[in-house]
Amino acid sequence: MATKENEVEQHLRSEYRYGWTTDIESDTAPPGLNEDIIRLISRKKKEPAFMLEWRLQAYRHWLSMREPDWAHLRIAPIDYQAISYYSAPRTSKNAPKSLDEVDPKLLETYEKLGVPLHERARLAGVAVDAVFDSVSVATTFREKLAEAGVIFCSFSEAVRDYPELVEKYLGTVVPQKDNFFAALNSAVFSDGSFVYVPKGVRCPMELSTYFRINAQNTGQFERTLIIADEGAYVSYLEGCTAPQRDENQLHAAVVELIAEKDAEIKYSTVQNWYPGDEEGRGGIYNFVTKRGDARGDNSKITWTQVETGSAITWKYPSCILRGDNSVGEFYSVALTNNYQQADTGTKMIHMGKNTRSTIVSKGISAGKGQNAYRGLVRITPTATGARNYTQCDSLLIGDECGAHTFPYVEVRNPTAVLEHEATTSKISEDQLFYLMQRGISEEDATNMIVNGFCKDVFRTLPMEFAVEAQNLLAVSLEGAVG
Amino acid sequence: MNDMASIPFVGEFRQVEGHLPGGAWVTKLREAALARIGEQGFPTRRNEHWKYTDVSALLKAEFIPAPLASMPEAFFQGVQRFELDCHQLVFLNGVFRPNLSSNSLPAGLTVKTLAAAIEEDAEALQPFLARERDSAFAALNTAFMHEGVLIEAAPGTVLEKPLHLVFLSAAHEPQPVVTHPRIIVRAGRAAALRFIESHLGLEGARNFTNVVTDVLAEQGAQVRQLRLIEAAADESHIANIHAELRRDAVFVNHQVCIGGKLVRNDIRVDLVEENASVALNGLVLANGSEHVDNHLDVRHMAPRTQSDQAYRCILDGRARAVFNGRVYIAPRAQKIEANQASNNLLLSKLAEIDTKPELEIYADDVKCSHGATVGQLDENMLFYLRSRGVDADTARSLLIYAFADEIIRRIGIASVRAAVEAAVLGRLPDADSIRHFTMEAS
Repeated sequence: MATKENEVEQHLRSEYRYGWTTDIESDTAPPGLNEDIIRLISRKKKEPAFMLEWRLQAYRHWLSMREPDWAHLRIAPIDYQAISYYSAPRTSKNAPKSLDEVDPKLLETYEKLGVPLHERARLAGVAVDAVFDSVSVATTFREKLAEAGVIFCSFSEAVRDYPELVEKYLGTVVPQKDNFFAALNSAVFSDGSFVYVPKGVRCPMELSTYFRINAQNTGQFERTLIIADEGAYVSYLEGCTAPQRDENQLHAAVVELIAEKDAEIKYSTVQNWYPGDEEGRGGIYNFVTKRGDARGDNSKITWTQVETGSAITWKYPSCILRGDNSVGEFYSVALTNNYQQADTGTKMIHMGKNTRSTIVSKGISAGKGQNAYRGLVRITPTATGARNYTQCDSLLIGDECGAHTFPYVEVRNPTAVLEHEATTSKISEDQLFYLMQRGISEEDATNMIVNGFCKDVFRTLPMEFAVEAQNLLAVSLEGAVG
Repeated sequence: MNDMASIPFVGEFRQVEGHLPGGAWVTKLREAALARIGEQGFPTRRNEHWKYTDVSALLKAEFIPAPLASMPEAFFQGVQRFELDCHQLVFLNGVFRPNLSSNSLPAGLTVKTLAAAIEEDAEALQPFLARERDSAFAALNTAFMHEGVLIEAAPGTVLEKPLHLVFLSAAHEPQPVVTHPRIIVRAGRAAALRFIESHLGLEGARNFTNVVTDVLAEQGAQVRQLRLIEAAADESHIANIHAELRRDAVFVNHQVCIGGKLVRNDIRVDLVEENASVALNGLVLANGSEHVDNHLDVRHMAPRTQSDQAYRCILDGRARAVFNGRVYIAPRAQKIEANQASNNLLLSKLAEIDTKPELEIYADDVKCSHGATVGQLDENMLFYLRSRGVDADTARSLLIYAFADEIIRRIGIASVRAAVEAAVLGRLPDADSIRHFTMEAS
């Protein structure tokens, strides 16, 4: 038993594989937040006047807000004045016109991450708008997308080149004053992705962004806006890994999705930011506001997320089902190990007739991890014939972790049919025994069982992502068998 | 404490003080409770536990505390749903009425009115009276506690007949009455007892009942409680129930809510020693603009404890029901089994249900499940009945009745079960035809 425990501890201590910092000069603003910093960000990014005004409104309102404390999380106080709100790689001063002009060190970073931009992009047919810290440095397949009429660019470019689209849609799903972190993001967001798929266009490829947090002390405030016009379809992938460090890093992103009539948006995330060491030191704070507005009739929004990283995850990708017959889906795997904490889930707001939503959430807790599902299903009086199915299961590995479920169900229409099911249990000893008896190591057996547990979610991911997600889970869980 | 007069309910304390039982120790307790209310105030909808229930109208209403109210002259024979051959204590607008009560106490059982128990030896009741409670309404009860019951079963006592506590609420003019009944139940080792708490509102009553019930089940003891809340259309009922279970103890609580403008029940059960088990069953039938909120909080503090929660709500008119069931499993409390089910039936366009079955788990060797459903009557079942010649209305009522019966059938005492069945039937459309059906079947 003693050797087994050692082995377990050894595995549990397995270090973050993607931990390093690339040494690139940053053009960084001094720490602190005030109106001047916001003006600086806006000026640096050569934004139109409406953008600066929008940021300032958000900032002024943010000053009057308090950090949310309702989540099942323990968060060390965050000093917002100690964070630097702008950092751009030097290369941005004379922006690269092609991949050859990109800083070779940057490219090396992507290599280490397993994102060989040029190769992968061609082989996998994926356009990568890689966000390095705050400013986009490389975009591929722009032309192929442009042929189809799809706009896929960094947010700053969108503000410059398509200000009328940005002004029309920005903040219509997540208003500036939505919540503390969304307001902060609205004030200081650095960059992100912008996607516009015009009427009737099926985006010819999966769109993908690789994020990477780099410069020390730089919070990441991404802003993503995806619009699928009438009858359009787009699938968007987001994935990230981050370098190891001791200081907590704040990440407060906002993602807005807009699906017009008959449109469909599929948004998939694999998140593997630095989770802190085994003592719970360091790690990313991930406070994200993600919301999709299924505005048009027959529209559909699908969120899929695999959350294995971050010290703290506070994230509730939601769907507002406004159009008749619109569909919302949420598939999630959240894993917490060591001292990681996650409070994640979704909101499905049914407003249109015959709206349907599906929630499948799988939480895995190991070590001293705390994992909470928090979800809301609201059927408003106008949502006749609404239907919801919710399943949220938790798996416990080890006797010091926690698994929590807080499902809110609010129904104000008698024609609605809702089912909510949840189970919590530890990894089945029978299943483990069965596999081990056939010569499979305890470790592999556990991974198999966990993968089986998550199958319903992985199924919904694009293939490359599904493979990556399985590997991530195996790495994050290594030996957490007790 | 300077602005006491501005806090709802508390203003009258100085006038009532002289009428309340207990010596210096109890007075200190009352003052501390008042200070707490002064500090924290009453809950608003910004409070997570009161998110769906608004008490602001209740706090604005004017009530006269029970000891200051006059006793209504009325005839109370036959107002009860059921007559049981058992020990019965009747309270009218919060005041004990010996002439309406019957006394047939078996050996091993001590029953006292709370006022008498407090006058005798309040400090012996310290674990109950001085218990830390989160609710401002529980604190209000502590400050004003006046009447109630203390039930003590000696070790090994097994009671054949149940106890029946009847709280009648009659109209009082010009001001309605606020009562703060306090019930303490202590079951000694291996004792077994059943008690029924009936809260009956008579027509025209606009009173507010604010109950606190404490149950302690010692090793191997079994306590079964039925709460029947049938308040009048314009009445409010708030209850804070706290049960503590020792090793191998069993606590079963049934709650049937079939009336009241605003009903809020908080039931907290602490399973503090191994192999204790609890079952919480509830049925809510609400119509008109009734609002019924049940908050359950089961805390598994020890290994090998079990819990089961099953609540069903049937809502019509503009009624609104809230269910919040929480299961908490403490670190190292292994081998736990906990189940939660919240099933709800909405019968009208304007009815609303808000349900939240929560799990908070800090141990790994557990089996927990929860389920919640909201829906309407099953079309297939309706079709089945209609294809067999049952008219649409009767078929509908039958299915509603069957849905409710899942909970009613768990009630152990046959005569009470029949009475609850009748009460539920009475609230359904086409009661006669269902009665006809169920009679034939049996």
